[in-house]
Amino acid sequence: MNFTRLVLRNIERSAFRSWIILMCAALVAFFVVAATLVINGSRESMSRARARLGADIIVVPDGAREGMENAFLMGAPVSLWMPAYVTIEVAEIEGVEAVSPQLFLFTLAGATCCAVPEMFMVAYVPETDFTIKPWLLQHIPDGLKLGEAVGGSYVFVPTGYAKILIYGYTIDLRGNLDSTGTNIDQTMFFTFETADDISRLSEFQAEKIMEIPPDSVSAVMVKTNPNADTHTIAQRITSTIPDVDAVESSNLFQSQRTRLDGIFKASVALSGIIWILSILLIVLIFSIVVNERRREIGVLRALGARRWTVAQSLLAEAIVLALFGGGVGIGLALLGVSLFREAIINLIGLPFLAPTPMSIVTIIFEGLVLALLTVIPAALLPTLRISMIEPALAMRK
Amino acid sequence: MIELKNVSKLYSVKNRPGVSAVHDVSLNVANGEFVIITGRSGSGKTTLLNLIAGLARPTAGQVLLDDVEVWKLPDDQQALMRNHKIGFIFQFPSLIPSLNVLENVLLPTILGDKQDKDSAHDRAVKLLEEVGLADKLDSLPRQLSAGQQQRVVIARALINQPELLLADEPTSNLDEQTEAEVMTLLKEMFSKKGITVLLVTHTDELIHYGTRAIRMASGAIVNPPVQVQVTT
Ligand SMILES: Nc1ncnc2c1ncn2[C@@H]1O[C@H](COP(=O)(O)OP(=O)(O)O)[C@@H](O)[C@H]1O
Ligand SMILES: [Mg+2]
Repeated sequence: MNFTRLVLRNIERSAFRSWIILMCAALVAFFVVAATLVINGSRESMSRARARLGADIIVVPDGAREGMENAFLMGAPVSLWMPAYVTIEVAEIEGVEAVSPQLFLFTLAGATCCAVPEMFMVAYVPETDFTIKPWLLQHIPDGLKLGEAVGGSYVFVPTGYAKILIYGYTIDLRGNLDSTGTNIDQTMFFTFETADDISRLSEFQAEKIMEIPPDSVSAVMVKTNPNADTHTIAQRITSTIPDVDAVESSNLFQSQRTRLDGIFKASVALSGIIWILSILLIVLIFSIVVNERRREIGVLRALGARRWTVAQSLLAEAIVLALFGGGVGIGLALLGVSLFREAIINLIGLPFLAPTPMSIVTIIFEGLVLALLTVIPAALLPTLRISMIEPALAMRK
Repeated sequence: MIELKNVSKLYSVKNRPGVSAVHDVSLNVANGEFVIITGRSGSGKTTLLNLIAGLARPTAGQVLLDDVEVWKLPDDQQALMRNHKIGFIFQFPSLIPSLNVLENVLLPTILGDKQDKDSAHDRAVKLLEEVGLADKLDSLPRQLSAGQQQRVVIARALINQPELLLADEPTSNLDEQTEAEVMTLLKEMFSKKGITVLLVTHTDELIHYGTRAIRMASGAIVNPPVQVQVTT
């Protein structure tokens, strides 16, 4: 017989009401943790995508800005192209130091080559490239040749095979890129010649033909002169070259960031509402519980319980429920967000990175604190009222 | 042991003149007395016990227990004083429904500061034997009859070896035979443990169990005191 036992017995006794309080704590923790996981993951995903881009300006066809951003973020295919000569035009603009075109090809689902369900393909020019090279783990002295590729960290040759097979075409994996935590990890890069070759042969070798528009590029990566103003150069590009858009990397993912901001604000508002409703419900339920035990609390005081002991036992009850509920909510949030990752990405139209172990620890801690911050203030009021009351009054029906 | 000096308790009720539950009561109870307090319902008996135990704050006057004024003590010392010195028997069912018989009896031992688990456990078992419930240690209160429950309450009241036992109509929910059994048990404990007892009852039938009787009416003690023939 001890204090803890009294607390636990009391929780059991009002089982139904204990459940409601537990569910409230779970709901608040679940919602906030899930929102935090998605929003933080998404922020991280964008900032990494931006950081690994390595270009100061990206030139894309007019109207393709968002599609391109989605291609970078989510590997979504883009169906807007511009003529390949745009690359040369951009290179001639004052203040532009280096250019390299890329062609975003297609998305491959269920490929055998990857540890992920989807793989993306990009054609690039290894000779002029400055965005992919820095991530290459191996030095390839003779350069990429026809039928060769480098892949993100999730791309590998299936065991038992010498090459990767896509669209009936066999590809030699020459090297891998360092892990970036972005879609690059599940992207395969090869030359424009290889892309043409795959397309040409897919007519005979593949179940599905891979079509690519001739002499087209999806984007031109631009490195500017460090002394020049990027914004001015971007403006110069759009005013000189017709039908293109020049996206400064600092402005990248503007629309996604706006959307994320919206999601963030909505989550905060919704969390606030859930939090306040939970508190009100817990205040109500706790008042009922306390009122029901009014006489019993009077008896405890008569038997020698201090005011503080009474308050402590009630608060302990609340804390146990908060921690259990919070734990359940956090667990469900972590599980749900990882299980329904794809669905959530489709729903919000934004990718998000899985949290690091360190940030999971932080999130668990925050979730529990939040659950406590929901239950304790709510329990405090009825608890203080009943423990301050004169025992003789508490014992009167 | 107990000294009340012109004690009054006024309950203020909203929009109405206050109820004077106890009015200008002075009373001395010496060690070893078994005082029976009688009076009709509403005459202030419960309030008087509550005032003695420090469960209600007097609106006027002084309550002294062993020369200490209860309401001058801070809350934790009041609580300790009740825990050490006073055993309670209530008019209403007062066992904690979720705790078994043994745990209920042990309850006062975890609320105080002196904790010797083994000896508390032994004392509880022995007390439950004394009240005739040796075979009910693990039962829950609802599995017991009203009389058995009140016996558990008696055991609980005695677990910390108090000097004073306050019993508020301990037999009002019991049939005549059980009432006699419980009263006999109380009397037995009184003689055996040498404690002071204040027992409230609304009938005069029980006054022969005591060594002194007091009658209350309208919050005051009625004079002259009732003469009691001591039966033991
Ligand atoms: N908390 C309270 N508020 C208002 N009136 C009260 C309160 N407690 C007791 N009373 C009144 O004081 C009087 C004495 O009550 P009580 O001491 O319970 O009498 P008894 O125990 O003799 O039946 C009654 O009139 C009762 O209604
Ligand atoms: Mg009464």
